[in-house]
Amino acid sequence: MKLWKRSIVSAMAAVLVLGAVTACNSSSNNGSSSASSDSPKKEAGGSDSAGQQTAKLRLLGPMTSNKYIKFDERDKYPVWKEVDKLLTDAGLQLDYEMVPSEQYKVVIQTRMASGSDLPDIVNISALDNTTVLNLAKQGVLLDLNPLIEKYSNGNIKKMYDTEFPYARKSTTSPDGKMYWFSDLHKKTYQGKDPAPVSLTMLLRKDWLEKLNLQVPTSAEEYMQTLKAMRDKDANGNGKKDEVLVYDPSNFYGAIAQWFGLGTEITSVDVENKKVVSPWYQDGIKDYFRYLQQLAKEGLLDTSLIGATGEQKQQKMTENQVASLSDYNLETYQEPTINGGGEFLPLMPLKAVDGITPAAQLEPPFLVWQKYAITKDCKNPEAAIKFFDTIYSDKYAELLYWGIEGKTYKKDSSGANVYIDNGSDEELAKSGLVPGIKLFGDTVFPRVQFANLEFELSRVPKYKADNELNVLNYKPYFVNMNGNYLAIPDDKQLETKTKILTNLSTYSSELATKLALGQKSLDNWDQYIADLKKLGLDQLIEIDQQLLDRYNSIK
Amino acid sequence: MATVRRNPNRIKQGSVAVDIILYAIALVICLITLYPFYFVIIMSISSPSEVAAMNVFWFPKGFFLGSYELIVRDTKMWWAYSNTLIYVGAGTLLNCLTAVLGAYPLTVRNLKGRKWVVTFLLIPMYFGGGLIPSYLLINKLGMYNTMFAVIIPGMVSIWNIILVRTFFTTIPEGLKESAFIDGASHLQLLFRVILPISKPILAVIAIYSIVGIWNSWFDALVYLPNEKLHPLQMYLYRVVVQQSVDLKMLSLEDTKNAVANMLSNIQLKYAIIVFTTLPVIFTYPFFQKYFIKGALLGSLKE
Repeated sequence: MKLWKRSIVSAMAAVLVLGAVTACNSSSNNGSSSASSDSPKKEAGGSDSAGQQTAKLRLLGPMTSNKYIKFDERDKYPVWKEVDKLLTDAGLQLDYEMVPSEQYKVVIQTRMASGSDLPDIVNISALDNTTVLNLAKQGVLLDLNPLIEKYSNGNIKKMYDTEFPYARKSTTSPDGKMYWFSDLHKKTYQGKDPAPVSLTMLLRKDWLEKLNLQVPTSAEEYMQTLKAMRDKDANGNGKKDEVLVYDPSNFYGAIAQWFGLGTEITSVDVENKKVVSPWYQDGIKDYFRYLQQLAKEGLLDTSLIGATGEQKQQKMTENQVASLSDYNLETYQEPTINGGGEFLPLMPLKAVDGITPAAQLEPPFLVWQKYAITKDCKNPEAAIKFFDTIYSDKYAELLYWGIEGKTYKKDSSGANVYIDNGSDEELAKSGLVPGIKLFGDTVFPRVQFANLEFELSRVPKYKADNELNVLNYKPYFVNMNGNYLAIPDDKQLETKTKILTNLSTYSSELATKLALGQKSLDNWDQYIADLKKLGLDQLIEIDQQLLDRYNSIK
Repeated sequence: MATVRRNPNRIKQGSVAVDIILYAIALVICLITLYPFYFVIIMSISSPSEVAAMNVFWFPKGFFLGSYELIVRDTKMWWAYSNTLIYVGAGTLLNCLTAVLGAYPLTVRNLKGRKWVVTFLLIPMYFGGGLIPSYLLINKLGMYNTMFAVIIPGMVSIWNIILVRTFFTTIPEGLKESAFIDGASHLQLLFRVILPISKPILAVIAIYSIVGIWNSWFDALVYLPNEKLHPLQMYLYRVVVQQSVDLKMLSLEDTKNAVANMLSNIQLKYAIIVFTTLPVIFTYPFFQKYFIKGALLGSLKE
């Protein structure tokens, strides 16, 4: 009898545990991320109260990681009501599955690779081009061009062909098809001129004034200024610890462009439609000589080479950074300095006779992220309707600027500027956010008509002046070369990947060692021979082909 | 004293100097082991600006409990906590059950093909199916995005079965035979005779499961896109991973947001580590003696 009792008790315990598990599971499943926009669920082709046809779509994307402004609470935000109205008017009923962004990459990789039970529209930005093109080849992703031709009301074409003529070039696959929609961004000045911002060397303005130093006008003067800041103890802590934070392992630091160098192993010279490599450019040896001097003088902080963001932040917080390479309009570094400080963006400085210093610009037009329609989409017409809604002027306004009078206003020149409604925490309470904060980077593509006027209105005059000076500056290189290259085909991609694996390692090691003087410039021919052996020339050739194809796509 | 020292036959007591050196080494090892814990704790209570500057080494600088306040107020954290308790509770119970049920037949002497089964068991211990096949299986079984996706696949541990089997084989055969002579069935033998004297091994399995499940997050990463089902370690993973963004690839506006995010998270990370690790650290002392037993079991094969 005792055994019976015991087995019954243990069986009951097991049932209890399992029961608890199932109960928790089902209750939480209902109340969470996969919440429908409307409570009554209708099948595709059903009709809503107004009698209009509604179509149901399932969307999968990452959640925004903002602690205060959450997509789950979208209904309390005025901007969402407007967007929701646009979608309802288009006859769409959307079912969202939002996955935490930190987890999204793994989730999307497994889901797409398994290829079963896919949502209609999915954000596949986390997948690289090879994976995406393979999925397209397997038929998991639909070719969008015929669908656009057949179903679109013209919005998509207007944005892609008129407003953002660069978009097609970056999203047309080698087979001539288009498999994903993208985030589109452009920044203009005075309503029409493209307005690139620059990445440049920033120098402590308050230290210049404190030590009565002139703004340097050449590379040589720049070095002397750094030296003076250190030797005269600009931060006043009694130690000679004022340094330049600069990563010599790549060419992204703006000093490289003073010597006329590109920004990557292969860089696009946009104006001349040519792919160049800094390793072959004239100023390269002088550049390394200059860095060697900086390192020898102890001005370049060698302990930070290859350091993490946190380590660099530490130097910044401790008030030791005299100069660094960053956006000319940045305003996020200054508040982190203990005791405060100001960074002055420098114009490109002359370094070598015969070489005009170049600027490094962020392209004023950006195309990034991927949003695709999958093979499991039963109603492609509705999916295209969704994207027609997204690529409308109204949506673009709601997304980037929000609601006039609430989140943005017009300044005297008629340009949009944001209204400062406080921190994220306050915004979450008042609900006065532009759409981008609430649903940007999820499964809703961004369509951004940014302007320089607002950027300039929130920075000190010396930063604004630098931006206006650099606006039409030539020559320049861009920080995102990939934006000017067409999507490579299988073979090109394979070759590129193969070459880059070894070449980038070799290049960054070589650059670091040359900069620190651990390798001599005397053996230059040997280094170039090594680079050639690793496929540098072939890489330039492929990228040139991609650039040519990019320019040929209409 | 002098005479004692000259006695060649005395039992050597070891020299004081060597003792001191050994103690010193032990102390250093202790410090090396404990310092990371200590570091995380003092980072979590120092003032945020000192933490961002990485200025804290030996003692907390300033005093700030804001990060803890933020965590305690976060409902997501409490969700994760309760989920972990469910996963640990259910997982541990099922693990013990399957281990006992799996191990017992393998100790029955006249069971045909017993050796073959034991060998067969070793295969999945070393080789898995891979991520995508596992995903497909879980998905087809309808367990994707449910708590079962984490509990069911982890409920059988072959390592545990082998541990229990090894323990069962140490039980004298005579005990089993006498039970049979008294008319016991296999079930009766298992539950009334063997289990009562197997508490040590059950404790070992329980603690292995508790610690293992408490620290696991990967299954949740793959199978649970719904954050309401996330265990505590997944919550921690998200906070820690969130801030490691490659700033170089972002445009001006995005960089601004990412930097703000990064700074607010530096301290939070430490507070969460303390919060998620403490419970499992506190269970260790209670199970310590069983842990040692578990380690010994492997060496006691007959």
